[in-house]
Amino acid sequence: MGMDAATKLSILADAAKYDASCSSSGSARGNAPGGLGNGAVGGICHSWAADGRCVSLLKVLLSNACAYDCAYCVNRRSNDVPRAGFEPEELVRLVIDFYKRNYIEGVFISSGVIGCPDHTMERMIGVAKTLRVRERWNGYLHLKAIPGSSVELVDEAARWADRVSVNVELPSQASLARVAPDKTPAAIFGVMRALARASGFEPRKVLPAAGAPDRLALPPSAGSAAEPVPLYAARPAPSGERSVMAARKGRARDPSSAVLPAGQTTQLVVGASPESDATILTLAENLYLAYDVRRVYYSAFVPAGRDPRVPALPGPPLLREHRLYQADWLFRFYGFRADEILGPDRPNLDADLDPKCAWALRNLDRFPVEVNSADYLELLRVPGIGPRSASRIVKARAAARLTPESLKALGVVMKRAAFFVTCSGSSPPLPGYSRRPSPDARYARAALTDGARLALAPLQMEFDWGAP
Amino acid sequence: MTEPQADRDDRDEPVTLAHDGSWPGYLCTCAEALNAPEPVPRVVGSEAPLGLFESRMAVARDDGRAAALWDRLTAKAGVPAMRIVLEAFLSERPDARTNAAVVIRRLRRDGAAALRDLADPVVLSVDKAANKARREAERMTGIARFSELADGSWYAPLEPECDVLPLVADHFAARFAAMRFALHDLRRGRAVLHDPGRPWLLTDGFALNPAEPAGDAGPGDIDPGILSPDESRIRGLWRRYFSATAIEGRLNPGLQSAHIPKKYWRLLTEMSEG
Repeated sequence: MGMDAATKLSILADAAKYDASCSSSGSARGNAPGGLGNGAVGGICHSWAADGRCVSLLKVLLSNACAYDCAYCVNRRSNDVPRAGFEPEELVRLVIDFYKRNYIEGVFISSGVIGCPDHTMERMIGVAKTLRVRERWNGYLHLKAIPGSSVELVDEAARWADRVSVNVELPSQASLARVAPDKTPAAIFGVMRALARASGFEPRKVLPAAGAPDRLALPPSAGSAAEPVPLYAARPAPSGERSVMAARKGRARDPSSAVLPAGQTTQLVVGASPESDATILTLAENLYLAYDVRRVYYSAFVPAGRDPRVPALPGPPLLREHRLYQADWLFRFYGFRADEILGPDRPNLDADLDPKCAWALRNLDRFPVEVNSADYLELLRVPGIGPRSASRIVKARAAARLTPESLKALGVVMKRAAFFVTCSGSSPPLPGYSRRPSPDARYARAALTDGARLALAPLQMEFDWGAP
Repeated sequence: MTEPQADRDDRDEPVTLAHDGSWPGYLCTCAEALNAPEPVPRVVGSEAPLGLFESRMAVARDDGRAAALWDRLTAKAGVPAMRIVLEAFLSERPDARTNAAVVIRRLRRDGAAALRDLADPVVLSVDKAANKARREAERMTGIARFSELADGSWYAPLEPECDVLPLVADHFAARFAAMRFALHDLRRGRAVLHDPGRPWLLTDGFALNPAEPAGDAGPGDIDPGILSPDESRIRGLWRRYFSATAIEGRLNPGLQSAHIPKKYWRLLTEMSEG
């Protein structure tokens, strides 16, 4: 009480900023007569903060007081930070005032756990309902579900929101038990199941079938012991299984649906626990396939205060986060499966190469690809060719045979693609090189190395998980 | 394949047809070019410098004729293809209008398939120009900043490189259906005016403050006397939110200005002081 609105807003925005979810896409909610706002299916970014992240939604907590003690979280009850909470009316006013000025696309409301999960959910739902019913506001509404909430409340949240998310955060049950002792896998995945059903998707069984081992040992990584992943059941999809992209093709979605048009998302914290990239990506793939999650966000762990349950990193592992996002794009838009990107012999992503280049260099028998005849999916696998340039290639070659010059004009990144394609049988020259590219040459790897390590690694120091 | 228009020698182009810069005027000029015998005259803006051997004919704007051509072409090539032509026109990129006139000719002959020939430099340049306008319009839907005026109406100034107002007006009219607002292109002195319950309209020579010449106004220049009493408090809250939401451990100004080039910062509430 007595705290002014600006201070409250600072505290509750600061407390919410570690959730990486920023997207405002997937909803085509229309404006109502006399109402305010609508959804934009593609999502709209309204600004970019000093850390380079997009600002689309007003991302705040209803309260940062929390009954839980999750070691990775700045709001854990044992952390000494100033606490604040919005009155529901204050937050409603703020959303409307910001929205009318076109500062934001909508609001993302989360909260520390006040009392029990259900009570917390009821408070958030109250704000959502006021916005939708009394204010007739149709902007983008993202609600955070609290693990352990009842199915009824999850369903009601889904009724008002465009998107609801529940965060998995820790990539294995062992880490969850150690780092977030108040949460259980059942509490998290129970909400995910309810959300999948609310948006018309029957969750697929990811638990190992009866009789299968309930503890899957993945290979040791970074000096730690083998990683046990019971209950999470993050086993690689069998190789006959469809990719995330293929599975999504068969799923009709309705952005105009009144209930949860933008589905559910989740977040994994990277670097607060010892799991390898392979564990994280395998889990992410399972989440896409089993619960129809729209996006998995990866959040580089930012140490906030000292807690012995998490490592004291000198900085957030941004390079690792960046590579995980690249791999995630390969799931969703390029038709890759997790076991193609990483495997038992390769638990972590390459620091110097993006995961697609790394895959291509390991699979040289699939190259070169002839751009004048290869199908769309084959083109997508070529480094330097993305969904946009692949479909442009398919369009353009119907009219004329493609040459290295026309590829460049179509937006293909020749610096990378030149190693992996032919145009009417001959390989394109590399700018600045007198010789024709040959992908097995040592300079291929050098030429394909991107600037990410240089840009991001100074901010990232490896934590030695094997050290005592 | 057609040579890019820019590379042609003026002596091979004895006649050019000039438009007045308006979209209907441009369509009329394209209609004239479609009817002309070979060699096909080039379509140029009337502001372009006259070539040494060029003989130029100005085509009068006739909205009925423009609408008729639009309907004919839409029937043949479809709305999405014609939207690309419109976007290319609005991009105001050098040669985009001249090249779009060539593309219109091919759309009339081949329908929407003409736009798929991206290996052709003229088609590609139109496609790229259209992309540029479309992207900037999309960006403007995010970065336009509205201020509430004392009379309860709303005002948003923009400084776009492309002439994006016609591309964003529907978006804001749908979103802010119940708000009376002006969306003001400071560079072109033009504005979209929206009154609840009515279709929006585009006006030339708009000035928020009629006493001042159009083109000099910015949000900082809005007379505080005409703002709603709440405006500066809410701007302050937004600035507080904006600075609180950046993560200190990840500060990356280079990435920030890659996403939002500094040329747009002047009109962004969160990037300016008090």
